[in-house]
Amino acid sequence: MSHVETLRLAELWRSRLQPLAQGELRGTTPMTAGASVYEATGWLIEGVFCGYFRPEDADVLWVRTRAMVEAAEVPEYPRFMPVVAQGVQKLLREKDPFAAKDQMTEEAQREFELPLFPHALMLADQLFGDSLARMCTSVLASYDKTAWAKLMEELGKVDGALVAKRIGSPAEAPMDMAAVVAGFLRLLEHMNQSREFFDFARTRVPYGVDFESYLQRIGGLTAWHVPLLDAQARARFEQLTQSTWAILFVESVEEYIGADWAAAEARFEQHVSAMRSSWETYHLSAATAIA
Amino acid sequence: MPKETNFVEVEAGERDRHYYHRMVECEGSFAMLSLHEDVTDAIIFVHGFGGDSYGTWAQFQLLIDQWEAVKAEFAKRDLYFFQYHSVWERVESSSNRLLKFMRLLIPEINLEHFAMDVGPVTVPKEESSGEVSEFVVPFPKDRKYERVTLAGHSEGGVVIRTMIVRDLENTALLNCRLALFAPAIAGYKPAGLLGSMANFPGLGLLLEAVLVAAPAYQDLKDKEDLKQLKTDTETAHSKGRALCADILWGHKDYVVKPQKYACDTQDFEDCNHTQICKPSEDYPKPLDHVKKWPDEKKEEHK
Repeated sequence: MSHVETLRLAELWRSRLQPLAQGELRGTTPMTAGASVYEATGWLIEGVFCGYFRPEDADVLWVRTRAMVEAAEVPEYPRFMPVVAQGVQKLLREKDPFAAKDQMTEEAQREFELPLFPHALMLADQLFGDSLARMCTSVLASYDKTAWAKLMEELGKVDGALVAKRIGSPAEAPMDMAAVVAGFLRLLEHMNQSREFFDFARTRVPYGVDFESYLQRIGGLTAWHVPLLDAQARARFEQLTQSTWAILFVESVEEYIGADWAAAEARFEQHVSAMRSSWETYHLSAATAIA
Repeated sequence: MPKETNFVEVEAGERDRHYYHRMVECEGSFAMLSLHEDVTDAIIFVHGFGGDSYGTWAQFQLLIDQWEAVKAEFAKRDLYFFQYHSVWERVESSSNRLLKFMRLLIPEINLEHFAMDVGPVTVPKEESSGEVSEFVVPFPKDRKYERVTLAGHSEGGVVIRTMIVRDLENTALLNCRLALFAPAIAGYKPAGLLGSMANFPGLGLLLEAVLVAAPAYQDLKDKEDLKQLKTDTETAHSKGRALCADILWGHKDYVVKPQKYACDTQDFEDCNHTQICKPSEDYPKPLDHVKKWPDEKKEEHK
């Protein structure tokens, strides 16, 4: 009879590692593809660490996935959290990587992390599976200046209806500015969901649990999707905030002519600012530790 | 269909936590399955305009496994989070998609959608020649639902009700209970963008404001379609439990009109359109709303 932990790991293979092994992702650059592989491997490491997966199953799976991880471009700071990359690199160096001795021994920490793990993974899976968000991440993290300038030139032609079309048909969305704006809206939504999750987790931290360690390891896994530590990515995030608001405004101003648009713009900016701030707190704290 | 399937082994401490199963053939939909053997209750959650299977219902997903006060009450229930293209698909099409999803669960569970191939994590690559498959289902093969609740938020309520009236001969469907949160059954109010954004924790309403031209939104503005849905539902209301909904509205909801059908029951909470379906330890009402089941004797009497 199979253990439930075995079934969980089979889900990780099916939802994450297998699509990566088969190169099924769209809107991906070599950097973001490498980050996707490293993130998925990070979930494998953390899942074994807290007891969500069994080490012996992980060893079997590792034989199937090791070559893919070795071939992936190593994602680097500031676009990727070093603590996660180092964990994967350590795995590649070890002969017997998932020995049971590496599982979490602190009972309180395990009791805190284990029940949250499937939800954190589901949250990350939703982000991973969102092709529009991935396009936006690619543009934030690894588009060269010429390609970015070209995208920005398209901005004048992008209206709310086109952004809506991209959101409605993500599988067919070409890599254009409308898709990037749609992806930006999706990213903001994922950031909001992430904030709610970590806010919830924080309320459940008992005495003796190292929440900062949790943020560095679990929050750090998905940090690369919104790489705000990178100056270029941060500047583009700001530009997308302004561009998105402009599109929203032009789209809606005629229909809602009586609205207080100055107040509405302030609310939008506050919302984005709150998302950015919580992302820094919950996902980028490992970088703060480095600094 | 997998040749052989097995139930899983679970440690006692893990039994009360749900198992997350991704419904890969229904993109974006997933289930939180009970690891208890004797499960006969299921709740299917249907999000609203601009929402998704995860974001709209995240608080439910977190609380039922984490909050001791409700954990036991949900431990023996399976929860399904259905995803559809709420923004770009017509309501009729979404309800058809939901019906297909329901047919995976009632009257019999289609095991094919739950069987996981554990071969990749149990059979060493060097020992396998070609594909090695070993299928496991996370629950006993004879699991069958006797009490199914359909929970819908906003447009999700319209999608559910449309599905019900389109399939009035489906006994299993007619036996479901409807627990709706601010359903858009009387259409959206023409709320301004500012009004929409004012109380919004996430981007759902912001998207809604951008996407006023989307077909689903047009459906919900189309009073004639919604009037017909009301007429069809009220006319058929005696055919089954699923025609009559228990509705929770928000006093601060500026997005939908709180107009129930004659056969519905309703209650109000001090919430806006998005808060109404987001439970917390301070606001457990949504949890009660989806888990209560009508007294069978009272129903018969009625």
